Amino acid sequence: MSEKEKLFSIVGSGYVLNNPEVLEEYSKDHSFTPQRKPDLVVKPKNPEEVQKIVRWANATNTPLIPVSSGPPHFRGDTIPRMGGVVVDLSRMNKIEWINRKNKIACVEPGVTFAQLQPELKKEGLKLPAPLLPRSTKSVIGSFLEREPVLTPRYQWDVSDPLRCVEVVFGNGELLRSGEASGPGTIEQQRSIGGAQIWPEGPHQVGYHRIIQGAQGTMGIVTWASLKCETLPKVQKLFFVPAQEVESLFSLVYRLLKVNYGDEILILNNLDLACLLGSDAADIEERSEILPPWTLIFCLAGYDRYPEERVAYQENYVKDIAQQFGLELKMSLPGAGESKVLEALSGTKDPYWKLLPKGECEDIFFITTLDRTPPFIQTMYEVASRLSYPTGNIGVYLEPMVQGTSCHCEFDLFYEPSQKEKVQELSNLVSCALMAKGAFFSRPYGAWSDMVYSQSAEYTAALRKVKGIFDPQGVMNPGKLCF
Amino acid sequence: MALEDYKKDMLRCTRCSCCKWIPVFSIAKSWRFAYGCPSIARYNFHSYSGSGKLITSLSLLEGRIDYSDRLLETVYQCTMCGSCDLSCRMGTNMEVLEILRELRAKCVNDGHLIPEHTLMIQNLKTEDTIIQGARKADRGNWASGLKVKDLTKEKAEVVFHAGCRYCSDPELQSIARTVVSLLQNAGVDVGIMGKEETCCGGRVYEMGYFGEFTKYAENNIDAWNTAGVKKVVTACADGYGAVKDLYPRVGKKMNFEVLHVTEYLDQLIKEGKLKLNKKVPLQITYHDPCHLGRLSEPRLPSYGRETTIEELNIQPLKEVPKVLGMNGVFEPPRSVLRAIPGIKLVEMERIKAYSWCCGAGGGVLEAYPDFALWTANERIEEAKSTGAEAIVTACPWCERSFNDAIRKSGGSMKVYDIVELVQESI
Amino acid sequence: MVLARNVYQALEDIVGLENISEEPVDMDSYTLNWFPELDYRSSPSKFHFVRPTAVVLPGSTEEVQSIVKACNHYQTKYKAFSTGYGSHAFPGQEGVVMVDLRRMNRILEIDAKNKYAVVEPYVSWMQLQAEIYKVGLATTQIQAGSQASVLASVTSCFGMNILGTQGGYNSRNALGIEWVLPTGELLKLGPPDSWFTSDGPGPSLRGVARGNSGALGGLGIFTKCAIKLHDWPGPTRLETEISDPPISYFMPYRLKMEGLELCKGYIPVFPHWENIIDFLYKLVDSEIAYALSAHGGLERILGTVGLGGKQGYDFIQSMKGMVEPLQDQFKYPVMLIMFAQTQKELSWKQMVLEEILTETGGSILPILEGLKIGEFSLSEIADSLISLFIFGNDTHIVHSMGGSFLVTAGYGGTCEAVNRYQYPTGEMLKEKYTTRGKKLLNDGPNTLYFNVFDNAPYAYSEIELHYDPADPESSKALMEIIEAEQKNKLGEKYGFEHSDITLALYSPSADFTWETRVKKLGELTSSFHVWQERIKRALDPNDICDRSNYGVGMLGKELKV
Repeated sequence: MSEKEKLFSIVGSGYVLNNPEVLEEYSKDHSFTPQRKPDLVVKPKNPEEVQKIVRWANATNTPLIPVSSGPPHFRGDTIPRMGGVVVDLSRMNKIEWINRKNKIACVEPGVTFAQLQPELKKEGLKLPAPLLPRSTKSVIGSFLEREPVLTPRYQWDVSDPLRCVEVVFGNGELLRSGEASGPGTIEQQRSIGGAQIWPEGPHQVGYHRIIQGAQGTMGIVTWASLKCETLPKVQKLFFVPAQEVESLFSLVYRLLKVNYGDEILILNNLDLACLLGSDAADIEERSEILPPWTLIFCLAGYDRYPEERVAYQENYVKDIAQQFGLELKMSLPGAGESKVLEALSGTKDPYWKLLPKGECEDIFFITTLDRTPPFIQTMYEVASRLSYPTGNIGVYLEPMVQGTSCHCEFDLFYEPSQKEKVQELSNLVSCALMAKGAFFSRPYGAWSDMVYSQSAEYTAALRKVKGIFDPQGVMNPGKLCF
Repeated sequence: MALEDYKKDMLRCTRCSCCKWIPVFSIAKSWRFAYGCPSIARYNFHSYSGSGKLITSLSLLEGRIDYSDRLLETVYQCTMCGSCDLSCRMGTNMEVLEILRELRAKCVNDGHLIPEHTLMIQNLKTEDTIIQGARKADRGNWASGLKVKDLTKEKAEVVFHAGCRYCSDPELQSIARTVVSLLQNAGVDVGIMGKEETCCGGRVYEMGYFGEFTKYAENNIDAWNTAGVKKVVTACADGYGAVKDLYPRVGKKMNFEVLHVTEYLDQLIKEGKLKLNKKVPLQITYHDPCHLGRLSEPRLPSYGRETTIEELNIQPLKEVPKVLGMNGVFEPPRSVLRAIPGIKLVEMERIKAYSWCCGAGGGVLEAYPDFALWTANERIEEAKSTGAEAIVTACPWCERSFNDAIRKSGGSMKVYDIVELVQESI
Repeated sequence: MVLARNVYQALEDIVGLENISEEPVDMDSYTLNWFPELDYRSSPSKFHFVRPTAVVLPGSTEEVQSIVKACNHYQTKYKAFSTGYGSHAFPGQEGVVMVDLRRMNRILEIDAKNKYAVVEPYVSWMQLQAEIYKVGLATTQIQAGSQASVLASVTSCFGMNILGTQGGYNSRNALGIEWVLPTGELLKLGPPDSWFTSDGPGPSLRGVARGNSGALGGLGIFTKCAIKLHDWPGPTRLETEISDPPISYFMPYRLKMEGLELCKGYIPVFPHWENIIDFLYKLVDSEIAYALSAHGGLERILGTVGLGGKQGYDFIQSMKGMVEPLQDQFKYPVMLIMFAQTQKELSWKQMVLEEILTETGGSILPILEGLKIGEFSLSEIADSLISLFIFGNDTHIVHSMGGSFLVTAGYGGTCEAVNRYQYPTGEMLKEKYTTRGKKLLNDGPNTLYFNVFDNAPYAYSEIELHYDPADPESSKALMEIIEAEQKNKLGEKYGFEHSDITLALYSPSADFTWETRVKKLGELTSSFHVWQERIKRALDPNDICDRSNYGVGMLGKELKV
């Protein structure tokens, strides 16, 4: 039996793809990662098939590249660096369980935000989510990437809202983490009131953390439980415009300290316009009338006395804002409450970052909110040096983990013809930012060399860990430091 | 009355380490001043802590270890301040301090002595004072020229017991004189024993010399009973603590009340017998001496006697009341200080029952002067952190310890006894 | 076992003469601990079955690294130690050098805006909490108590705590970590010069450092860590005052409530534990709790007589007539603290609480109204005592009951699954053991302790059992009950993410050792024990860091990985 036939026997012949058009689709994305085609694409349906695929890959020394989201892709992590087989998990798209009582949703990796969010809403739940993902974005994929969520107060740990995972590691062994680890099957656990909510372990290892940020280099997640939150009955959105971004920080820090506000984010005029605009012209128009910086936050009330809850929080926040010389607005020219609320809770196609110019390179890293201004300064300086219009740079600041850190993102919107120039800019500015202390915790593409070459000890340790979970190195080789 | 009596308490130690810190429920106010035990804070090995010494006791009893120089260091590099006892017993009923005392007694009885302590005992036996080099004949010299009743010849309502330190420390003798002067000013019928005064025995009890202590305790009780005094007043916290807490253990009837001078002054001020009119403009902080504070509340050791509450199956219940030292003499000194016009009292963080030791007690000043200095310096640092110009206390041992520390470090903080400030305000 | 002289000298050269010892008196103080009497290898002795071979006290990360490298070079085992409370902190084999991190005791940074603090290993909870109150922040409790090490809780041990409702399970509060690997290399988790995160770049090695519980000293030494903090709406400094009798018999201090006007303590009681489960779900949905716990029913107060001594006992006896009829009513209490920024917020929370209590059949100590003790009514001081218990964070008072305690059935999971197992199991165990002549404290059927985390419906719970370590019969009784319950749990129960508090601690019999329990659980749970052995061998190829409490301990050496 040929190797391809062995894969047929695992997933079925209809789910082993090798026609050139299909392979071409998986060979590139919107990042600067060089194009390279996989040898095959397989689409398993369940964890047993995934396990068999991984074992097969070990037996044949074939790289595997897991993909859970649908296109378009942006990070380069799904492009095979050394050939191999793409494991497309889109067939595994079951919402396995939603439990209102424990606020848990269990999903397979092919489940997207567009698919899950409406189902959660029916149960009176919502999922902390990243900023306006595309409809094809995999929920598990997003949280495995540690994408920042809009609601920092619900992020007790950087791994949230991811709870338990079921993962086939690179050596072909399957493990379930946290409460899901057992004993007993998931159904047995639920029969006694369990809900796969306890995220830690089993025992002395946090397996879910090793998988997160791994870009598929440790294993393939086949199921996960996610911590949801109560769907608000009342939501009140506030806008705080500012000329200087620093002037917003005191209010943001206060919100984070006292745990008021669900969604909290800061956007510059361009990014806010992109979120709301329908096309390039609309974006440009909005961008010109929006203030340079806007803090957006949402106060919410849930099942019990929601209006009263919003009222006392609003009272408090208004007082505080006044003390800081800031004004709370219910809307802005170019940004109305309902449109923004929609942007904060749904998905959008085409992906909003492609709207202004057709392409976007985002540069993002972790820091603390108060340290962002010098990074913003650096971004603008380097951009100016390379004659890249700073007006084409979107900025998104998202407090994370209850305000202990901050996702700082620069969105470089560009026309496809400008690709080389923007790549040069991206490399230059990333180095400059890193030299200033930006922490590229999610090192995609060129960042991985940049980051790992500066942290010998971490690299050495990570390689040892890789050797445990994927001893033959079949999982997405060429990514990170592997 | 032996170390073995407390074996159950030793077995109940869980090595939680609460004994190292101020009592948990007193709530630390800073990182810097959260420790309660000078020994562990200085020497770091667990054997130096209250728990460490309980463990050492058990180890010795079980024959797991033998005496060694190191063992004696861990036992005696300890001021016996009782902080560990308070912190532990805030949440249990283990008599940590009693065990520490019995451990020392065992060391002494087994012939494992500290040379400096041996010298103190020798001095005590020959001169009735624990101050090295001091002579019995000179004991009354502090009162030279003072018109005060000699209770070996006359009668008085009150005896002022100066104590070994006040009698023999030239820098501090004036404080003893001031006490007499203040009491007389208030119309108190006070006398002294002069050179017939003897050591209270408190220090040597702490050092493990129970026999010597008993001798001096009995002697003093007899002397005061015979003298017919109604009150025994002392300005030495050690002496006060000895009489209040330890003397009842010898089982002799005491026909007198014992007061620390601060208690008495507080009474006299409230009765209008002492008028404090002159301003003393000074920002001060007050140091609670251990023996005036947590170690002054009388407690009876259980000697391990306990019952079990049957209905609870195994709840041990000690046969004696549980005493933590929360009712020591904390308010009267503060009340006196507040009565002095111009004084601004700023409290340190470790006060009252969880006050930090001055470093002088337990035989440490004599045998381990470096450790005493270190402990005193810690307290001075705490005093400085309040912004106070002076640290005020009510015990000559604390005063000696602080003065030595400040002199050695070249600091500028002043040290006062409360009576000095009262006198200034008269 | 005596350390070779050249090894001793090498270690002394690193830390200095004053900071190393192998004296028996010192070694025994690192041998006795909380529960060796419950381990068949030491029982009935209070001393752990092995003594360390030496203790060193490093003063810096560099010294720690040098020690670890020296140990690797000389093939001498070592184990990190700080406030060490329990057998798991101590070596599990002969020839181990204890690396006592006592001298590394600084708070390095408090970033009030970004809500984290960076600490060395011997910063205690009380010390950190004292400093961060000043900037309006608080940290999760450490259930081992105020005197316990913050870093140990976050990196190496467990993480359940009463303040977890607001502050989370402590493993999830770890930000940057500095880690001396088992072979001596220094690894910083997180950015090289900052502490706001420990995750990345790429996969988070924090997942290797610890999981549900920490490595308990089995994977090197953590020398610094940052801990996430949370809001403290109270005063910058807490003050206490002395309680009046008879409260003072049990708790000599009471918290002064100045600055805590917007902090309220409650002890709602419920007719049945099913009501508590219902209450918990509604409570966390409403997000009104700042701290939440349960500590058993009214009979437990009788058990605190150890705390109150003779005077306490006499007082309880005098109150018995009044208390006994109330025992049923107080069988299922919960302790709750609410905290608010404004009076409006507090009023809203109180309104919500009232509604939830009505829905779930709970009520708040109605009999306290009018009961006077000293010059305060009991309901007035309830806030103070509850708050003191929680913000004072004293665990060692639990030892006053019976002499000591341990727990069985430590579980983490959903509020429902956890409590649905725990309450009846606790009652069954109590009925079976304490009321039938076994020498365990008879403090009532309900001695459940639980916490809830993140204002979410997941909880951790333990059944407390009190025994007298001074009585070998009592220790033996506890060993039997725990062994029976553990065997029962392993055989039949599903899905609990075992918190390992009872796994890591001791071995009640040669047939049922800690290692065999973990191995059995591992076989039922994705073979985690095999993964852990792989990690151990990869990071500690010389097997120098004491493995006794990591994975399956000594059994790990035999595993085929």
